[in-house]
Amino acid sequence: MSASASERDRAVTASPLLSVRDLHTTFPVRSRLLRRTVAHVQAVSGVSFDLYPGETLGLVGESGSGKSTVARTILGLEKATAGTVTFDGRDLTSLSASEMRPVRRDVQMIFQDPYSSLNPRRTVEEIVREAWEIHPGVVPKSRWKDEARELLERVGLNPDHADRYPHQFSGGQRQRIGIARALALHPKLIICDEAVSALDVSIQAQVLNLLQDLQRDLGLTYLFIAHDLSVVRHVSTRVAVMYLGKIVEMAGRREIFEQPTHPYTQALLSAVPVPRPWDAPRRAEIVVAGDIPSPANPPSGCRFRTRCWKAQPRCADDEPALQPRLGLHPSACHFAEPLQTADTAPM
Amino acid sequence: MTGPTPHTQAHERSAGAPLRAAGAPLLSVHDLRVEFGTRAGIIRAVDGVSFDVRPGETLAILGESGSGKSVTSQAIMGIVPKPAGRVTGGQIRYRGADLLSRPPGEVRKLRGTEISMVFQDPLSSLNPVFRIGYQIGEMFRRHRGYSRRDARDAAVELMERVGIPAARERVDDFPHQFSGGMRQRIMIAIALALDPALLIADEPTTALDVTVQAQIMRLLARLQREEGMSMILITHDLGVVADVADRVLMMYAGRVVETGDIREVYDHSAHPYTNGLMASIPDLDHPSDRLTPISGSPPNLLDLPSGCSFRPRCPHARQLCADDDPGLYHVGQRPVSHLAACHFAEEVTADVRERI
Repeated sequence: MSASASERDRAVTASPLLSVRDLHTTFPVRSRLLRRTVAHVQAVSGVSFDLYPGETLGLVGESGSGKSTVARTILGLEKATAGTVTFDGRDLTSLSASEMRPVRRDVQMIFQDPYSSLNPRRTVEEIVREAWEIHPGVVPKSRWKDEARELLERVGLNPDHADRYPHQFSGGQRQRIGIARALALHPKLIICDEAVSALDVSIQAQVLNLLQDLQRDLGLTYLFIAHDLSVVRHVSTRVAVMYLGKIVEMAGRREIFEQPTHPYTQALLSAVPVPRPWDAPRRAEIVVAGDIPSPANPPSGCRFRTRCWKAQPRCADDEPALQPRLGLHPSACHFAEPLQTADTAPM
Repeated sequence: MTGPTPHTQAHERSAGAPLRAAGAPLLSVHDLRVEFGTRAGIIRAVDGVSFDVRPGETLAILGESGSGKSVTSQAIMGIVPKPAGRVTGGQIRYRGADLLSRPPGEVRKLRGTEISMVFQDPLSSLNPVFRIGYQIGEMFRRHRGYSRRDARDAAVELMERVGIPAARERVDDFPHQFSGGMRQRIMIAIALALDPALLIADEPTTALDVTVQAQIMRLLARLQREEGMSMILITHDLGVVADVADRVLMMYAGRVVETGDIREVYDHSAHPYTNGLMASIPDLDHPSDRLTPISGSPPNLLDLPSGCSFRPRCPHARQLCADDDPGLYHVGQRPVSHLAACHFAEEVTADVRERI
């Protein structure tokens, strides 16, 4: 994996494209009866990370982990309660809606469900060129038709189908339309929110390869949000694991998959189904008990402690910081240690 | 519908019998055909599918969207959506008797008692306005004539068996008060209430988080072992069933393209589609820089190609594949069952050996 090593070297020398610091996003829970806010859901509570040009940061977590809220807050679709989101040197959380508009050119999003995110009454060409109508000056009007055709070709669609409607395409092709639309404004950063989760396996691989090609050819930076760890390992340069609104562990992809030190990451990895378990390296069998607690009422201290087999009284009182431990990568566990029983895969 | 059906009494399962006993199959599907009428034409969703499920065995039916895997299970359960869908041919023999030729009332009785089903989305299968203890207990009241109190006690016992913590305190909660994983456990409890001989689970973990998914698969495997029941697991995920299934049935465009013992099929796949799916999955343990996808798009069931349906996406395709539809035939010399529907199966397995 020399490619990933060199990518990491490059990442370290450059300054981050996106820098998220101590981000909090809270949703009020209103009671209709009392007509006031009765609780707050802490969807994101204190998330920090850097994203370097040309890299892919994988953000993994289960439902309720807050990974999608992080994305929506970066884009300004949700308001940050606290913290900063610095993109290309500007703090996005302090920008007004009109000041956000030029930033939206540079940050695009690809959604999970390509069908519900494409206007069914518009042709593919109209969908792609809509961005140019909103952001005049990116592509001159005389070039719209040609540029749209080029974009479709770029994402592996037949440019002659530019006048077709979304329902005339298969799921995988629709996701390609979504990618073409995201590329229309020549963005620097693309946030992929479960971008391949709804696709059949055979199509998922096509789209993953396309995303890789685009990154290589256009120098794109990805924030790749997904719940599928096999996919995340495949595409990411670095990986951050989220649990109940916080990042619990963050490292280069090889390190996080081979030497996870946080119990939650270890549990998550052990739960991943592999196609040929009889050929796979022996992995520790960890089945965590119970379900993810409500983000409206998270546990004190370490949020994973209620499901953790290592939990001690200290975990309830003292919240473990996300910091480098054991000379390895950052991990938010007082008792961080690599798994003893798991064999690591040779690379 | 009160009291036990004649069949639950007549066919007591012998306790302590070997789990993978050979002999007469519990369920035998032969040349099943299901069609759907659409405005654009007739779709053959299931086109001549045959398979057996033996007592105590777990069969995984694998395929992507549109492969016909779910419709196959709907046909077994007698719940093919009407009026669009229609079983147009074949037999579904359960303990030797063809379900398709028996009166609907009799088949309906088998559902829930002898054959039961778990669906992907537990929330839409549970009634939101009834307490879950009542919904689980309904099985006992309806089919076994239990009193309300006895049914409630039986519900608590079942909830405990499927691993719902504090069952006695939670028996009067409503579905929305449970998490997705717990709701799926409730569905499994309802499905198991009458000790079915065959449990069909259609994408039982697809809507769940990965850690919960692992819990549910373990639960199903444990219950299958304890009860000695047979299971059909329907899924698109090759990995989810690998630990649990004995045999697989790989479907594509309404047909079986490959079937056999799971290790045999996964390790020596003899159909290019199976092979292609394997190569499409990112390998968590041995990552590669690039995936090898299957080219092209899923088949349009309204306009299937001549001969082999997979041919437009197949790297091995030749003229023969367009002229002649390959039937399922035995592959390999091993004494295990392994069938594939490919003219060039030997070539495909040779490729697999090279890859591994």
